[in-house]
Amino acid sequence: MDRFNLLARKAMPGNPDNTRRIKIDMMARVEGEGALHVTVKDGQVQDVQLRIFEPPRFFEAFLQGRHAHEVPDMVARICGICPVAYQMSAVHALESIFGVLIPPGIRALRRLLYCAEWIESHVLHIYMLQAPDFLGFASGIEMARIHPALVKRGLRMKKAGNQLLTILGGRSVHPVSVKIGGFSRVPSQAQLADLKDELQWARDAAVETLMWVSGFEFLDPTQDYTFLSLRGPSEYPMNEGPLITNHGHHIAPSDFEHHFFEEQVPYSNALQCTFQGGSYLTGPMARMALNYDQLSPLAKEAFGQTHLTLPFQQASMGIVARAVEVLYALDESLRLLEAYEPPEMPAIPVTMRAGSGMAATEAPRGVLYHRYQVAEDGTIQLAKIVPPTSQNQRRMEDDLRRLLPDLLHLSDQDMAIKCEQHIRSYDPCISCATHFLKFTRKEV
Amino acid sequence: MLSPIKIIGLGNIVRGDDAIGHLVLQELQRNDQFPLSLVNGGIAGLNLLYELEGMDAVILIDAVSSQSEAGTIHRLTIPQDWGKIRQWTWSSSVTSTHAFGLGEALTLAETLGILPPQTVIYGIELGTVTIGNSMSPGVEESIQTVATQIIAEAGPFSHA
Repeated sequence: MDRFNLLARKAMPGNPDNTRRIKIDMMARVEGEGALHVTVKDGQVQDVQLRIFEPPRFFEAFLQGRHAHEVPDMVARICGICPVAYQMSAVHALESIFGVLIPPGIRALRRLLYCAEWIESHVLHIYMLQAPDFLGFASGIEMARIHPALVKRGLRMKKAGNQLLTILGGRSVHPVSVKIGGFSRVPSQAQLADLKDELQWARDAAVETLMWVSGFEFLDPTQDYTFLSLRGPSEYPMNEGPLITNHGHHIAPSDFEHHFFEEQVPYSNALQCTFQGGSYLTGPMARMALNYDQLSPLAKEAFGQTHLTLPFQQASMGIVARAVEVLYALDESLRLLEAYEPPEMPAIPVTMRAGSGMAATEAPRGVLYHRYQVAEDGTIQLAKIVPPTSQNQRRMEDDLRRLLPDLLHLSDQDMAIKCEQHIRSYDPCISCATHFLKFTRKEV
Repeated sequence: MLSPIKIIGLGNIVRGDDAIGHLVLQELQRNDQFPLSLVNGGIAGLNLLYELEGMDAVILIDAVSSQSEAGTIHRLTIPQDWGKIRQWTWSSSVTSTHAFGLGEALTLAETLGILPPQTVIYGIELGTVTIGNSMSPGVEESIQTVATQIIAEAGPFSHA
């Protein structure tokens, strides 16, 4: 018996004073741990609180006093799903301090490494986390009992990303080859060429995946999203570019903290980030809405066959955006692999100097911002990390406020399941979004 | 002929006692009696399936939390101990720290027919899981004990 799902779906009974409290203590198939508390009074949704209770992560404090060269390996430990994103934002922020200009060969390899992570992370979410919701299964494991071939296809696609990550990152979990200035070692042409057949298979499978998920029913209410993503100079955004929105904003990553404000809400130890006083959306749906023109011809053609239109305005459609990005990342990997020539040096020399630097890159889940302040000898004096999930958290609450009135006729248990599915459609990585914050607790 | 046994350590090296699996691997690396196939499985549970596929025998090492004293050693086998495995290593329950837990990975492997016929799990009861390098008393001794037991268990495979 799936013990966890029983726990997840435990809901409190209604109250006699017309106040109904729905409590999801743990959410199934959300990376990390979270909770949602909803209060309904006299038939109206009064309060929505998305709560975080994963033990606070100390990474920002943990990095202080360490040497800049240690940062890429340390931040890779923040998340088992998206270590590359943390490494990429970290090295770019630090390189901006040390005045390092990355040559095109290393830049291309970093892009390839990021593709590997997008493939792995998105395929995991599509096949094991979100598809079971659309098809009425309690978990990916339940889905595997009935559709083993589908799950095997997903696992093989994920493995293609895994193999790419292993060759570039030194190993599949917590890659270790990324360093300030480049890589500790780079693959040979032959090593990458060995992956070509499998990546081609995965690219075909990605087209099938897109056709499969675009046939799902998307029933959640439409939302008026403010989308935020990077905008690459000429390619679909990963490692560089200004931040843009669908309302015409154009923001340098170094100005991030002047536009996006993190605040502590009393019921959660993850910080919530706002833009112009409100919520916004970052991640695959935002990237696709703002950068469709930069997708590869194959990705555009396959998306055209789905007859869906952009921008997506329902959170559940994130699965389609992820499928498009998996196809793009595989297509882009093959392009980079064809053009690959090992750089003359795996890394360019770096001289430490004091200063502060910022960078934003596109993690699978959206914009990931890092800022570091470094002493002359390379010691980290300050680290600030704003992960995509803390940016999307306010947006998730806003979505739920809109979704909940239509769910009030349901039992608490069914309402909890619907809310859980909606939150899961954001692919939140709650453990990454949890910040360490000093707080005092008042006992009454 | 049996394929060589694979030994997989799980956990997060920067999260207190959650480093248990990793530290047992470090102990095993000092073994010079016969070659061992050692794999650092980290915390990303689903990737474990790729390590299991095609194997006849695996030993997995992970930290567990089952209300026992820190350092308590649990040796679990499949199918006898499925109940405990699912209870203690199901990621989304309160007892595990992994995104996609060992319990889920093994259950999915069984569902897809790729679970090695001989699968043994060594669980060491954890104490502290705060970020950092400090370990609970009792755990370090158990790491040495488990490494010794694994060498004894893996020996016959290396001579196969």
